[in-house]
Amino acid sequence: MQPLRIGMSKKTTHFLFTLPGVLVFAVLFLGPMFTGIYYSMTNWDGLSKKYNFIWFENYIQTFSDVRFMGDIRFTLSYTFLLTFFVTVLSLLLAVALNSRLIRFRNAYRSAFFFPAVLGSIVVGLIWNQIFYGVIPNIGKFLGINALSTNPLGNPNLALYGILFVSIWQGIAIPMVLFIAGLQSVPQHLYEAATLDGATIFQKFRDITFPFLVPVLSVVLVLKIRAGLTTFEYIMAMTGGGPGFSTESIGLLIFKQGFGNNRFGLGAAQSVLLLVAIALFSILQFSYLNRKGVDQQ
Amino acid sequence: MQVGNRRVKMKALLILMLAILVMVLAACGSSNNDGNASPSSAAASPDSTPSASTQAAQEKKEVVELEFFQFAPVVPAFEAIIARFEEKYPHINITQNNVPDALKVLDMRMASGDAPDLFNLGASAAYRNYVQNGLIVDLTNEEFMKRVNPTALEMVDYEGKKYGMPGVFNMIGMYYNKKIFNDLGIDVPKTKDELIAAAEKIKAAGITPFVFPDKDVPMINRLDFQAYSGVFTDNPKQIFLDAMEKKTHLTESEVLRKSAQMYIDLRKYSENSLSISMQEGFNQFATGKAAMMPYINFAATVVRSINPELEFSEFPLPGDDPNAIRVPVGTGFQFAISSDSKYIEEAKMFLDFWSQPENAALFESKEMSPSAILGVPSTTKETELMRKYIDEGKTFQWPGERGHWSVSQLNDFATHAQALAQTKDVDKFLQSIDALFYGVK
Repeated sequence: MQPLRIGMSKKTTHFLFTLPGVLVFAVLFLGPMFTGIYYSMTNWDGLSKKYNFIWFENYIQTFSDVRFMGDIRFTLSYTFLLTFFVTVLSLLLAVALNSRLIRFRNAYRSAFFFPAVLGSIVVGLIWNQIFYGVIPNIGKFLGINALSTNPLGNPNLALYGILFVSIWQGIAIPMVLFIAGLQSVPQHLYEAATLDGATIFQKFRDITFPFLVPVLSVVLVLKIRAGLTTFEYIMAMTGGGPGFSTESIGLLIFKQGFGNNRFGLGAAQSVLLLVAIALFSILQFSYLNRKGVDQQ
Repeated sequence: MQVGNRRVKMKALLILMLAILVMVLAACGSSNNDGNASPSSAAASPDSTPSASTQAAQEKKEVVELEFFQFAPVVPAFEAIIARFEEKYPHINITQNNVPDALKVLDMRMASGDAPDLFNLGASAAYRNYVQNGLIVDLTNEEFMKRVNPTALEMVDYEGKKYGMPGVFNMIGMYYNKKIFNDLGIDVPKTKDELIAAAEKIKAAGITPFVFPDKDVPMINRLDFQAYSGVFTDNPKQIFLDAMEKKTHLTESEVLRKSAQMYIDLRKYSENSLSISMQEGFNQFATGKAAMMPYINFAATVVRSINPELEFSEFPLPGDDPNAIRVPVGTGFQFAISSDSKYIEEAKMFLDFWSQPENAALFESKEMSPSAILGVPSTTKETELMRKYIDEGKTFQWPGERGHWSVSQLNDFATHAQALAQTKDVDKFLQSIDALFYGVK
């Protein structure tokens, strides 16, 4: 049977296939992004029908704000710790769960993947209760002073409490990506390396790692983005408190825009966040792409 | 090698695309949620009683569907009044809509032109915004406004006009466990020193003297702090107004310094206040683990629902002088009508009905706050003592009540007060709030 032809060139077909994606992207991303940039130069309160154009006043105000600077410090340290621990732990887990030495690999994989299917607010609220009701009892039992009270109520520990929960949930997807990456490494390279007398570490560094670079760069971008825009866990667990000690930029934007009726200011801060994330991602891709195995 | 390489490439590309897809989906999901938050909640309410409305429509031709949107956890109290109202006016069907985070949802709905017909604004600072944007109806000359207590009316005043009807008085006081007080032979404290002495005694008996739910409702920190400011001056509101006018700095205020010190001193007799959420605070108080808890009115209904057996009451916070004790009051509920509503007249009929003394009394018996309607007696024994001070006129207005502070001042003050519970640094606190108020209107 002959395939049906309606007289379309290959180019038109390709164009039509990409069109829905482009439209969705434009309507849901580019549109809001540009209106956001527009509102960031106004003093709109999120409610009024009237507002004034104030150019860069919101940006100037943002940079002279002590609170914003404190939130940047929090967000950056959170992002660094999150990205570091998630990458390292998920890579270790992936290597372990890809190894033939471990039995019931699939069961373990499912177990470690499980947190990913839960919503982050749900996870936050569940851990909130664990931190309140369970951790202090364990801390008292073991005689650990720092853990004998709710860590989320302690400004020095609240960051780590939130970090722990986001790592717990955050390693699942990177782990799966790394396992997929590991399975794409051709076995004969290992065989050849073994014949040449390479150690396990050498094999990992010179064979496995180059194959993992594309995955690694995706994981890094995902996690840095997740860290810089973090919101749900903090909203569910501390609301930014105690005081301002766990307030992230994402939460500050939400509070300014929707809580304090300073929509223009919130929009300006989110534009700054957008620029920061874009810069990070570009730097990262251009750096890591040079190290990949399949760059010809 | 060549083939293997291409496969690797394809796989890497696939993973990359998958990751991008996940990112796109995640972002789509969130932006969708934001956009839909208001319409979906709006859609949920009018359709929630389809059978009732269609039945009514068959009997009478024109049925008015009125949405009453409100934030407070006292749904049954309102339902009781609505049932009475619908009995009297069968052609009006009122649907009560009570969603989580209602004041934010209300803001969104007002902004997107999807305002509910009638709503309860509470003490929300959004009142000022709504009035300035012409979103709510002027009720100044309505007949039913004459039934409202003048003190309460004054609190909803905006440039000589009233755009809302106050429903109840809101106040903050110290709830205390009567049994613990009786067992230890403690009288209701009349000065700060007596209060501290009582706390010492309770602590010695192995009971936590105070529970402060400081964790996730900084609003309570603000109200709690402001309650202390009123025991050292009869008009704490003026301190902040003066700072806004650039007359004095808040850092120079002896009243605020004393209030902050009291705020810190009392917390020495509580356990890990910053890790206790509102619900956990109620639980500790209702189960007798803690003897005292400062809170606003609706705590009474919640505590009673957790432990109906508990005998508790409430006293106003004492300061230096036993004769200068004052109750901080605000308006708890404030009914407002949307300017865009098709049924403004019907909404006014409901307010007229609600404010009739027998109906307001029914509400009081269920909601337990002193009514703002004249001639409605207080039947709630838990708030008897507070009521006595209100009747004697020993009250002061919360500094942040209504139009005086902006929304961001209200919210950020609350967070600074929460931070004070953590840092215990009075100077730093005063500097932070001075930056928030000095010269800012």
